[in-house]
Amino acid sequence: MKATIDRFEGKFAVLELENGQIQNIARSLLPPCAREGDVLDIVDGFFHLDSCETKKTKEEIEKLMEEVWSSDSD
Amino acid sequence: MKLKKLSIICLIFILTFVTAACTITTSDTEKKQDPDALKIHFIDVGQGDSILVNLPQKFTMLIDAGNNNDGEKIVRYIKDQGIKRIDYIVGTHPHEDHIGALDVVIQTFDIGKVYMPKVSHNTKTFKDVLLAVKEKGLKVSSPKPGEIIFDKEDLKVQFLAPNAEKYEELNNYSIVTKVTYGETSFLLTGDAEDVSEKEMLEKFGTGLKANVLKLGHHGSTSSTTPEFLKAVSPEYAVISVGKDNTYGHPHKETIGRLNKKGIKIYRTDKNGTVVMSSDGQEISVWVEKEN
Repeated sequence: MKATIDRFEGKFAVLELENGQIQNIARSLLPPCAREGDVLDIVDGFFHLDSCETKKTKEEIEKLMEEVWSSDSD
Repeated sequence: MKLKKLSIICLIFILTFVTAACTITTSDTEKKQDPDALKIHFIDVGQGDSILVNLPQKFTMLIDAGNNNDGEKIVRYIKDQGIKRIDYIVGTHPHEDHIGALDVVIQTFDIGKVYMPKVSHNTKTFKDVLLAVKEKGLKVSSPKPGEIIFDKEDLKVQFLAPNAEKYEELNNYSIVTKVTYGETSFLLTGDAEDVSEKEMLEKFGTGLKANVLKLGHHGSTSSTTPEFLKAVSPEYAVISVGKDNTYGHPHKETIGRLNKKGIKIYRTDKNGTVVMSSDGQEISVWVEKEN
């Protein structure tokens, strides 16, 4: 299963699961270099950074941003 | 005996009618809108933010739209105010507890302008907002620091942050809005943290002063630094926060800072929805629940 890190709140990481649900987990369960927006692969209760999926999602979102952002904001 | 019974029944009838009449009078008074009053509604969305700024017939702005599952509540609340068009939508920053139901709001109402900081986030929540904007044929604008977006008839609305292009934390990208109506003012800070507060202090100094401060980041110690609080020096503080939330918001240090200055605190976890009304001179406060 995949999840995306929405944010960190103190000792917690707030994850957005694939179904859109939000779940808090202890930040210590994540690799120390994990950042907001990173996509995680969850296998047997362990959280791995999925750098490929993170990159793919980032590109997709940034493309959409370019489409909807007003040009006078640049 | 029979007569006595009859008079008791009559009395019950009379009392029922009197009570009903009283109830109607009260709700009518509550509903009667002063067309010249600015109302700022801190809608109770649990652990998240959603603030409706409304000057009837003149100006409507929604700052943030709570969590993903708050759509129905927020839409109903806005509709209950008789609002069909939202002139300005502000997504302070792309965290789920602020932009969660923004897509639903955009889909439901007639929308004027949409403001968000130009920073990307990889969540479906953020993507859904962008898709809602696209489907509605709207565009997103990013505020320029210090930009005044409305300045008419005693009402001035200005963006005081963000003041930089890049930040380490998404919270510091938060759009900070100052609403001034006559002699009264409100500072609505999203999740802006100490980094952004410091920039605002340098840039706006005494211009930060406001009667009401919506505390940054749900009363976390990451925000509301003593220097910032001193510059704003509010009479009222509002904290948008969920009951018994996992993160311990608001932090006791922050509450301590407010108490030390004798600032009256309103919290959505204790007061439910909080509505502040200004006639340009004075602010009156309505709460859903007393503490």
